[in-house]
Amino acid sequence: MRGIADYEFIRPLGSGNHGQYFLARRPARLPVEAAEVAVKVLAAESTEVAFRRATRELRAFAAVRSPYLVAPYDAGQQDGIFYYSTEYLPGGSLAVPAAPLDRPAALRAVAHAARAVAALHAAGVVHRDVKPGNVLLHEGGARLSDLGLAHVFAEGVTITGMGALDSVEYVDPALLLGERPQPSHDVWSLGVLLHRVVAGTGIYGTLPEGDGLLVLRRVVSMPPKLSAELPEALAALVRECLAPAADRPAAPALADRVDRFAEGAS
Amino acid sequence: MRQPDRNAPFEAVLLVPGAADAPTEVAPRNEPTRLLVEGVHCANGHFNDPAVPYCQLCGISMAQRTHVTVLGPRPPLGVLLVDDGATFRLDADYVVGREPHRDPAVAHGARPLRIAGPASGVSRQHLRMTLAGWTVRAVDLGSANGTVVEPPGDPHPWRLQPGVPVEIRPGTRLVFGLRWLRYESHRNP
Repeated sequence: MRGIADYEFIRPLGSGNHGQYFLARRPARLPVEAAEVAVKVLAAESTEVAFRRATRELRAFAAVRSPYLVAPYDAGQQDGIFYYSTEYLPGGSLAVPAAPLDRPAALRAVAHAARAVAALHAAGVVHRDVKPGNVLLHEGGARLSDLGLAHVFAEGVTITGMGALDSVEYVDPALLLGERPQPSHDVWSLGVLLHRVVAGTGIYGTLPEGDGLLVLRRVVSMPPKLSAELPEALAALVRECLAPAADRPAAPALADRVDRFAEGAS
Repeated sequence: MRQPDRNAPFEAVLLVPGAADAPTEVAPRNEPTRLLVEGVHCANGHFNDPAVPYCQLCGISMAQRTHVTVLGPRPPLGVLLVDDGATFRLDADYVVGREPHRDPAVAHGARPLRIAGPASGVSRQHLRMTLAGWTVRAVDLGSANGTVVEPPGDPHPWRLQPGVPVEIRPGTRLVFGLRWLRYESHRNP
């Protein structure tokens, strides 16, 4: 893809579970300073109703001011294809960092993601899609990107099948089984994220690659198991995030505790 | 992925703070109204189908509970898992097909579940999944190629009779054309 609307793409940045990202030149009409922006193009067909809902959700996201959230710039559609643009962070993501991360830096990134989630929750927004690929890195830490918008384009959808289903292992199984999105679901995802950056593995062991349905079944049917690599204090915190919804820590408290680990580890 | 026609007109909405756009209207989300059903609460307060012996959320035995049913909002009955890996929450009816939004049921609250990608043998409105009390039903909408029901552990698949809703159990696979979906749930025995 060479571009969309008045964005000219420079190169692809990768694909998520419901679209593709590109690095693009900033169109003159955007009132921001950066020369380059990130553009996400969604795979789902855009309709008038979906477009209105998507821009409404993005506006709600954009209204949350936090230094830990990626700043959205613009949303639009052309020829039935929906896109939105955000600031571009060159440090890669927790999934594919541009430079290797040490443990304190990785923990700091998780803490920043938790602060971003806290800011969203305070504004009544549930993120729904906290995973390594959405924690974008920059020199001072990390910012959380990409509000899950899949449900906007296919009403009632809890996860979409496009892409590698890479995010399933971060999703609270209760959500997969039909619960409405709640803040506690984001805390579960942050717990799995914390486990991933410290232990290097997920909470379901090694999941079969390329077979989304098997992964889904495993996640829904298997109780999570924490890695023995995890220091006990961190394991205890992860366990709290995976506890029954009412017993999970709130995002701000979680951020503080992860920050303390980051300081202790550095 | 499809390429946009770059010559087509586009519309864009600025999300930058301070942009001259209208403020975010807090429009109500298009959530289905939750139907009330008869159910019982387990010792931990989870609302259950009166027919189940164990709480379907926490697994606690329901045997000790006095089986006085109460009316409560129906929780989601599980999900529909489509062969491309997408899952859809069963808290509303769904019309499944290549152009499901054209079905009149969609105007009355059913959700369109569009089968994207290769859809050989899939009709525009192929089948409808409906919730009835604590059960899930499938009805073929007079599709050209029909709908095959494969109950879990049953080697004998059978065809839905067009227009006749049939209750399906969790784990049942419904095959339509070259595509399929499965009803997954931790609820219901």
